[in-house]
Amino acid sequence: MDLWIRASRDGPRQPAVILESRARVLAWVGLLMVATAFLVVRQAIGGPRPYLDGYTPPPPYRWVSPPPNLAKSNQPPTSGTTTIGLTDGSSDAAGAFTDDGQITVSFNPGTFTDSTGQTGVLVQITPLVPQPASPAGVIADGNVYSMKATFVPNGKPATELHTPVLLDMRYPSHKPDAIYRVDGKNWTPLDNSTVQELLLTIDARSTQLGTFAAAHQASSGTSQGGGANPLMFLALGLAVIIGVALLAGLKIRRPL
Amino acid sequence: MSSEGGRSVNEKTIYGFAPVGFGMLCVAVPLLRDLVIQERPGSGPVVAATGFGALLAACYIAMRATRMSWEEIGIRVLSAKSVVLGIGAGILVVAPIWRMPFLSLSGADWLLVAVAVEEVVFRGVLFAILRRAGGLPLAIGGSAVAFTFAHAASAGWLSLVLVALAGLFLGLLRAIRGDLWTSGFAHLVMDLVSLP
Repeated sequence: MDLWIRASRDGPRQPAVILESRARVLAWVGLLMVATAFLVVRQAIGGPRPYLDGYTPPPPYRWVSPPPNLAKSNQPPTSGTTTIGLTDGSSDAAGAFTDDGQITVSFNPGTFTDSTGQTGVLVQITPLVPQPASPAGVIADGNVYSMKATFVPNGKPATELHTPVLLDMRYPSHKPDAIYRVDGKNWTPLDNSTVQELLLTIDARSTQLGTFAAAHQASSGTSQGGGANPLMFLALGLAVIIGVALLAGLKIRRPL
Repeated sequence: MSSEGGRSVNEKTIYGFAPVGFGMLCVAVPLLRDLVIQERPGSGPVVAATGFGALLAACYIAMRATRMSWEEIGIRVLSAKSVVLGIGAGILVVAPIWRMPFLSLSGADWLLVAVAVEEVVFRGVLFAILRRAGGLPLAIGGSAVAFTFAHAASAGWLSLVLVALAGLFLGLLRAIRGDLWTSGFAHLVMDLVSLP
């Protein structure tokens, strides 16, 4: 590794060979410190998705009750079933999802336990048709999904979760406030909901299965997708033009 | 080499125009790309391809303008050591082992392209320009700052802390190994674990 230093701003640069080994040690120490900080912060915020490189937009949302302008092109949403294995009476880590990928539920190891010799837990995710109406003041952002778990083979409901599950739901366009637990006419927001705007998903942890929907309070506005500020586009466009001009100017001014 | 006011044009290039112009582009273009895709999800692939193309074009212009070699931006012959160290750094240090069962290629259509372009832009050309201008500390710090701001449209504020740390981590890997392969493979593993 070379470490370049300057004697003065306009002066020549020379490789600081004397510092090479020390700089290398410092870099390795820095690397380990940064890695440790990364792990600590990541654990603290519980954020599994720091990057979205390779992003491609999700496919069109599949509605139970599409808006009129999307009724023609709408595809119906799909259900999904997953069987989670039980090892020594404790469930394995697993993910359950609908076939269209609009909702995913992640289960930690040991979420379900059984002492009666059951072999697995069947998780069923179903979009509710017709879609239940939301209470006044709450607007659903997409479909309402029912999630049920039953032991295999006896078919008894598996209602007790020993660790929270992670719900991850697609939403169509309007940014929801939270994932709501739907209990009849009561819609209760899960207070740990996190929105991933670029992916149009929202996730939250829940200590029970049941019926869920992404939704927002009517007072939080109705703009589509959270709408980026036009001034932001203007400023960034200007930055691109200036950047190109500076680079282009460089090329022209460079001595031949 | 010509001279203007006591300083050669090439030195002005190194100290001012190249870092500023290229830095502005490598932050503004990804931000614009992500914001446009958010507004118009249906046009995502076209916008993404345009953004990546624009960044690579800016890299080429900056390289030509500053007479930078491929070696200087870290593009060297691939070595097994770089592959092993990069993947190892990604898996063992940064990517939490307990998430590995969830590793998935779902949604990773553009991942290889995105990682390659980002490495060339941030740890390649920008890193080399900043190193010329102010040495390795500026190169590591400056490339991490640009990397962070470039992700501002696609991550929440808390996640941006992680992005900043990842930028520092990858910059240090680049400085230690001197090539883009190590940081590239680490970046790839980190993204793969982050995507599901």
